[in-house]
Amino acid sequence: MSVWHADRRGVITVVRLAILLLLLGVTLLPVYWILSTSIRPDAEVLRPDPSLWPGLVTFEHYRNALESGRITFYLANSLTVAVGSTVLALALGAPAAYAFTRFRYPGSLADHVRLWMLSTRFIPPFAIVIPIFLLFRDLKLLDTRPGLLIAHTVFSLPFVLWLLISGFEQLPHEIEEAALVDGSSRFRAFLTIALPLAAPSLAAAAIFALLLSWNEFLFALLLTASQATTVPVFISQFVTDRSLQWGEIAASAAVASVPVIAFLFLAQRYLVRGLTMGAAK
Amino acid sequence: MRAAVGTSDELVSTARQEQRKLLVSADSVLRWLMPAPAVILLAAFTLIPLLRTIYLGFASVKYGRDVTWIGLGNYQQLLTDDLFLGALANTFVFVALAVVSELILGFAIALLLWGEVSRWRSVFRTLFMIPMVLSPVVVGITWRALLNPNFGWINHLLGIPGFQWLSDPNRALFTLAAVDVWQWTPFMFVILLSGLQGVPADVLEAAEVDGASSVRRFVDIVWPLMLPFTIVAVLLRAIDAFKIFDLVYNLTGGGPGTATETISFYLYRIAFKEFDLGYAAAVSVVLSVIVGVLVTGYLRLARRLGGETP
Repeated sequence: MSVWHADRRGVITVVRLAILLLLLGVTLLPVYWILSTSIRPDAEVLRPDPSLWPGLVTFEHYRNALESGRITFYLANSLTVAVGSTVLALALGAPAAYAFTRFRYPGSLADHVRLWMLSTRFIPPFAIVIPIFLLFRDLKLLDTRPGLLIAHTVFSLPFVLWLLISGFEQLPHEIEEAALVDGSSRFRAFLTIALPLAAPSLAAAAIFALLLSWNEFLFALLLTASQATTVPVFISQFVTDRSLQWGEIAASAAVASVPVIAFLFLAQRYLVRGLTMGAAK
Repeated sequence: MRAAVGTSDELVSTARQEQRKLLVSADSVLRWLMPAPAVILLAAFTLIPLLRTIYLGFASVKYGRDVTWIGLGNYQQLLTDDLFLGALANTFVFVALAVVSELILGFAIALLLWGEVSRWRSVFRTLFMIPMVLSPVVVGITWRALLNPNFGWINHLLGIPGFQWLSDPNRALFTLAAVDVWQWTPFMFVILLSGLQGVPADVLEAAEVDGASSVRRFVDIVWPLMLPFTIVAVLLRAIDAFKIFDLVYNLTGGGPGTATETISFYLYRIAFKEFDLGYAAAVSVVLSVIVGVLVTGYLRLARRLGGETP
């Protein structure tokens, strides 16, 4: 390779990195705005010539949010609903996904069920939320944690099933069959062999279900009023108040965002796996 | 059964057969038992509500309680409802703008991260993914502040004080699409990058040695292999963009006027502000049909393009 050629490669790499860094700046700017606004006085936020660096650092917004008990109350709702609906979706989804990949069904029933799972993604949410709203009103489930928990489970279950079906499909059947021949029951083989082997898919499904519920807005907005309100709905209503307390809004946004960003760094392998599995199927 | 093991080969094999029969009969129960809870829950909360929506579409619902059958009345009203048609047009413009930009940008970032910069790939990939894990509520209010004409950072950084991003009716829909591009380009990029990683490096190297230009290599090798991923990524993004609600609610509130009112936001207004549930149900039915037709058409077109439809 000539010197000119090697130089050209070097230049291309530098240009590439420069473009990537620029795009990364645009990607991260809003995150930086949230964090820096959450630690500066409100007066500084509303200045017409904003400075990107906080002049004064204050933690009053976090303290206000905590002392008023607002953020902790909504956090408790968000956490209960997210964890509860994730556990429920996995508990219902894993046996179903296992059955669809291991047992034979008359006709092509399993295929029809899978198509149905996929089609739930296409349905406009309002086609579902209006009757669910009426149903929840009759069942006294409006504005309760169990109500929203069920709604979010219904929301995440098709994703969970989709991911777990491809997960179980990729597992070799031989180990389970050997156990069955040795006298293990089918359900035991599912619990002790298939489930542990499918752990990466379970992790991907759990991450998806958690994120879906944590960030979900439409159902949380329409099915709750005050008692079961989650963090996104709280933040959204905060902004529509006439006085714009950007500091406390940003602090709440940070509380909602930092856990998912940390989660992304810890579990990005599973998140990518879930995304691409959903796409490649 | 276990007692039979070891007495004689014949006994063992009959015992095995018995065992298998028992297992098969256990399977015939389990195969219905194991999926039952999930299927029942989904049926109760998606299938039955959907049927109820279809029914409500033929009714007038007063105060969400008194249901009167009015036949095709809602559907007749729909044909001359300018707000509905306007929201539908806004939605199509929004979907086209957002998804096409996301595809181009997502492909560009995936290509930039592919190959030599590979040492940095996983760090970059994770950082680029941050917007898509954030709540659309947080994204909406944050951009609302960033784009504020008086104290927003964007106008300050670009040196255009007072520029109206969200209150100019001719511009607001583009701004909405731009924020959607900010949040969801990562989704395209993750799927496309994982597709790129499946493109065989030796084939590309061989083509390079044979003197094929980088454009040729892209058109002849990379693009055909990427087509299936592109088709799926565009489909999933387009469906979600078509349903967009949370970003509209938190960034523009459908305004100014109805300039950024997408179909979901319009539905929210008639169902939960005006409480016209029968009419909202009819609109939902029409929407479901439109989405169904578009998805089917898209998949058929994709198959003709030669992409392996998943």
